[in-house]
This record gives sequence, structure tokens and C-alpha cells, in this order.
Amino acid sequence: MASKKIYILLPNRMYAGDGVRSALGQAVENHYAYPVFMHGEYPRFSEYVTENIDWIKDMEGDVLNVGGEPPEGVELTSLTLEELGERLREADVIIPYGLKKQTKAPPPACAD
Amino acid sequence: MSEEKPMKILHVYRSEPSDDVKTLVNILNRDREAKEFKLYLGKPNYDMLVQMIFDADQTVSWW
Repeated sequence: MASKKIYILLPNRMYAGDGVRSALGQAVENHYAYPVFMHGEYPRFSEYVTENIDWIKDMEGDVLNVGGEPPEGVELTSLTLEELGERLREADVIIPYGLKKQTKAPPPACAD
Repeated sequence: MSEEKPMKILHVYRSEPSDDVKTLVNILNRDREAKEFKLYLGKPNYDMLVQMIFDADQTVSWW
């Protein structure tokens, strides 16, 4: 099967860890995987998530960032929304992943 | 000599598209034959949606 370019769009950090893991799964299947953190919505960058990001890069994928400054210690490729759009034109599969961020603020106990 | 047909792209919206989604869709639709299906309006015709998916070269299911 030919390798495909797969973009996983992640506007909600609740799903960002899952999205990175899913992208890694596609990379393992010989596809080019590109998870995209949007609006500065980053997952908890645990050692596990950071390792997944490194593995995606090792397998010729990349981890992209649209909006916001990523925390120190994690190297992401920043680009604008328009640049992302141009890259998506070359994608074989585009996956808007999970749910959008909720509009109502969660209670403090659930904020993370 | 035959001309290459434009790619057929289908956008399925689960909710009202945000400005960011509209920007991405506008870029994706450039030079392409684009259709859209709004799941959040009324009672969706899923038979029509299935047919539209089969007719399209690429489908993007937005949030």
C-alpha cells in the first residue's frame, strides 16, 4: 500500500495526547503522519508524549503548531493557519480529531 | 489531449464552521470542485450523504 500523508488536527488539548498517539500509529504503518496542535492547545507533555513526538519525527513525519508558543523542551514546527491550509492541499487524509474546545469554562477541578 | 479533471472534495460539518475552519476550507477548495453537507441543520438525509461521499475523491468531516 502506498504511503499516505495524514494530518490530524487537534484544537482541544483533551484529545491532543490521543491524536499524537494515533499519528504515531500511522507512522508505524509507513504513512507520513502530521499531528497539528491548534490555538495553543497543548497536551500534558509527559515523557511519554514527548517520546511519541520524537518517534513521529524519526519516522519522517512532523509535529506542527498553529498559534501559541509551545512550552520549553518540546520542538514543534510552527506555521500559520494559511500555511497549514496549503499543506493540507497535499494531504491524502485530513482528520479533524476529537471535539472542539467547549465554549463554557470547566470548573477549576476539571481545568486540566 | 484530455484535461485533468479537478479534484472533488466534500466537506461534512458536524457544527457551524468556525472562522479557522472556513479559512482552511477556502484554501482547500481552490481550483477544486467542492460540495458541503451540514449535519447540524434539520434532519440530515444520510442516503444523500453516502452518495456524496462515494462521488467525492476526498471527504473531510469537520467538527
